[in-house]
Amino acid sequence: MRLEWSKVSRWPAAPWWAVGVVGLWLALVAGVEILSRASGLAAETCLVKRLTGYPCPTCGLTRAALAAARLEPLRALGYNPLFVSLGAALGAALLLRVVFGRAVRLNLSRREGHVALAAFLALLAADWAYVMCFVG
Amino acid sequence: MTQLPPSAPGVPAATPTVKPHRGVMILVFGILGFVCCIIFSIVAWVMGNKDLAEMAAGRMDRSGEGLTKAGKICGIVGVALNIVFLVVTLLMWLFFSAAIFAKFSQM
Repeated sequence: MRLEWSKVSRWPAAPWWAVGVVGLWLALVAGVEILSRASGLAAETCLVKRLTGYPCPTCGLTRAALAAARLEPLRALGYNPLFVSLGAALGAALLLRVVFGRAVRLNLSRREGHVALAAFLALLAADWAYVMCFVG
Repeated sequence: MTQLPPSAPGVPAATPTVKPHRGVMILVFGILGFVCCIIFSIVAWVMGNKDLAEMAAGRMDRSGEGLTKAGKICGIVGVALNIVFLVVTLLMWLFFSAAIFAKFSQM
């Protein structure tokens, strides 16, 4: 495992189509949420919950985003601890990149990559159990 | 044009280093796109595209090409399913709210 603080371009080179897909998805979720809140008619934005009736591991992120927008970070963290923490870490990394023009790079061997992936999946399972028990 | 000296007998010729593939991670992200958020599908699609280009250029281990392609396809399908679901939800909501509005305006 090697950690590098390497020089990179200030703006990440994300493909435009991916930015467009994320924008389209966020616009659709925002549209459904705004319409359902304005009218009082409930509408489900999660495909997994609609099909199975159970919340998915990322359930609560819309409510967490709304809580973060109201400057309530602890409430946002309570909705989905893993993904709110990951989002905060990604936001901090992006801020560092834009300010310093450098990024932390973690170079892992294939074996280390598999261990990291397994650890992430274990955390995801724990987060899912938390969401099912306390968020719903 | 410079030529590399021939390697000594019994010593393997120097090969350019290639990055290890991330096929397993991309496939896992592609599958997570079905059971979690659309973001995993988009990440699997973007990483799959990038890594397949790296493999084609010879900078990444080609043994993970199948896994990478499978992960990318899962990502594309996950994105399509999620977007179609949201569009259908929005249209159904508009249809039902219009029907309710019409019913109450007749009363």
